[in-house]
Amino acid sequence: MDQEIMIARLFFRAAFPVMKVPLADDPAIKKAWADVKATVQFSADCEPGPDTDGQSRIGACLYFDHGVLEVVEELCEKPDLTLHFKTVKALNALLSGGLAVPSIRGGLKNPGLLVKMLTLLMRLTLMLPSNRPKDPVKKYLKVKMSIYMITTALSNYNRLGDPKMREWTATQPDRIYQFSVATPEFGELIAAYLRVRGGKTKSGRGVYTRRRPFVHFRFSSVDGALKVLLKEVEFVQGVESGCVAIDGSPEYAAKMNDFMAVLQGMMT
Amino acid sequence: MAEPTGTTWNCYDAATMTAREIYGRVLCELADADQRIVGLSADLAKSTSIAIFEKHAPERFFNVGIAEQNLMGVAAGMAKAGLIPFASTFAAFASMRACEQVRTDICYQNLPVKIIATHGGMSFGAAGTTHHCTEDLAIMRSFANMTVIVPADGIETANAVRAVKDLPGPAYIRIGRGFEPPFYESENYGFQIGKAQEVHPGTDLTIIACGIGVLQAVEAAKSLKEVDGLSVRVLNMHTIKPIDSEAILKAVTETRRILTVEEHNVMGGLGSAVADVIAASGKGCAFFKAGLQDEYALVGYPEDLYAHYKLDANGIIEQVRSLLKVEFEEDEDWNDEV
Repeated sequence: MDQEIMIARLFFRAAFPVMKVPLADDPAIKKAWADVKATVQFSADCEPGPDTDGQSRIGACLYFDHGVLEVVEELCEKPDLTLHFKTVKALNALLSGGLAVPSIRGGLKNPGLLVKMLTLLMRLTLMLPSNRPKDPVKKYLKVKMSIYMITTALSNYNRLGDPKMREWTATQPDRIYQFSVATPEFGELIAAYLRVRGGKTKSGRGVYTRRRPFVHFRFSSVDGALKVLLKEVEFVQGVESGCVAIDGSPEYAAKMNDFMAVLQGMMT
Repeated sequence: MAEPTGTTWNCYDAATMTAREIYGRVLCELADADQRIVGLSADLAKSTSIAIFEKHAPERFFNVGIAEQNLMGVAAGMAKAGLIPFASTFAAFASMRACEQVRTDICYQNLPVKIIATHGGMSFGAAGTTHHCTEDLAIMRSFANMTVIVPADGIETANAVRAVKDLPGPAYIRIGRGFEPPFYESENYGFQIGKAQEVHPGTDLTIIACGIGVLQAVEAAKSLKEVDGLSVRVLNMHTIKPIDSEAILKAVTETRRILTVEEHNVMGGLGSAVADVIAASGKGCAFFKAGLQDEYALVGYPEDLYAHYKLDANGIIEQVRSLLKVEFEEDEDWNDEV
């Protein structure tokens, strides 16, 4: 698969669903979308030619229904708003925090929706390593969104057929790679996991309870997690300084960290 | 390296120091109070962390070279002369290469040599079968006079090292490679040689574990309670010999199902010691020994091996369910939760 198309699909499958976090946890965003029922489409032309599935255009539809979001990787028939990019590379550039100008259809008819969508997209940029929030709520959102996105991206990196990821998952029995961040100040444990078994992967939110984790990345706090996510400390230093503790296999934890670094490089 | 906090090692120490390092530090502390203590190594001082003692008291440290038989012979001689030798090497070498010297020079004469065997079980996984040691408990337990201890973590290693110092006879303490996670939070939980510790209450089944199996068994017990509503007792049977018969028979009476967990061949180790007690009592119970089923371990990372041989929490959960003859629905939902 073309690298740019893979990256775009990772954004569709892993980054877009993370918009659910600000929709649920960010008071301003929650209020803005509370009464909205609309469909927003992101699409891009596959240049120079069709992708491996024979498609000349790829895209994802975001169905908003009074604060509830569903993301489907498809081109929908009558979106209320469309952001279309001439190339997949341009789409990826915008979603990874760079500059790209899409053609916008439906913006004049739905200016409020366009503004809300752009504001929501801005929230996604919280996950960029260059974004260093000071506000505690934004810090919390950044960590939660990042943990959710990375587990889903890892799962889809495998599903989309990256050879090294496929090789790594193929030989594993049923294993859980759990991430958790203690956030007593918010009365919540941020948690997400990646389940692997014989080449299959699944990402999930919360703590997987049917099996104990094979590797558990336990971040001590939001600030501890941020230090690692922002690369203020390398992972090993993060362990040494108590920002993160690892229960389970150090070798597999290191391999996971390698894949996370690859994904971060692709998506930022 | 963390500084010791008096005579007690706090959780931070155990989280940042390996069991081997804690052993080295405790030995220094004991040696300051008792001039009879000497340290010996067979050219593995750094790997077994007795180098900490070497640095601390160089005049009382002896490297006998790559000669484990010599290590045990020299230690026996020193003990005969009134010293308390702590001899450190890898478990495979202590129990097998120097087997005759441990038996004849040390155990036969009931000399107070303390053998600290590191890299026990499959903890030296990638080094291969030559460096694995899944027979040592069977060998050591069969020597009269020998005390055999498998601590659950670094903190228990500290307790075990202190406890064996004043034993009149020989002792064998088996620890891992050094990446084992801590189980205990402090030393003050009442460690006593020969007395098992109930580390998780339960009435449906008892897991009797030692070494790394203790933490995994407790994790399994928590999960079984949460997911399946099962009440699983866990005993930390840190002392394989003399074994705590009372705790075993109480578990048999109260839970009627026993699963032993050991990083060892199931022949001759913890499971066999427990089975001996049950058989001698004439009581019946469902019983299974988790460990290597009379085979040599594969070569690989320790956690892969623990999972493969069902010695990790998930493997223990499977074996508990199997022993309870309870069937559980497989999780076949592979859709991402987004």
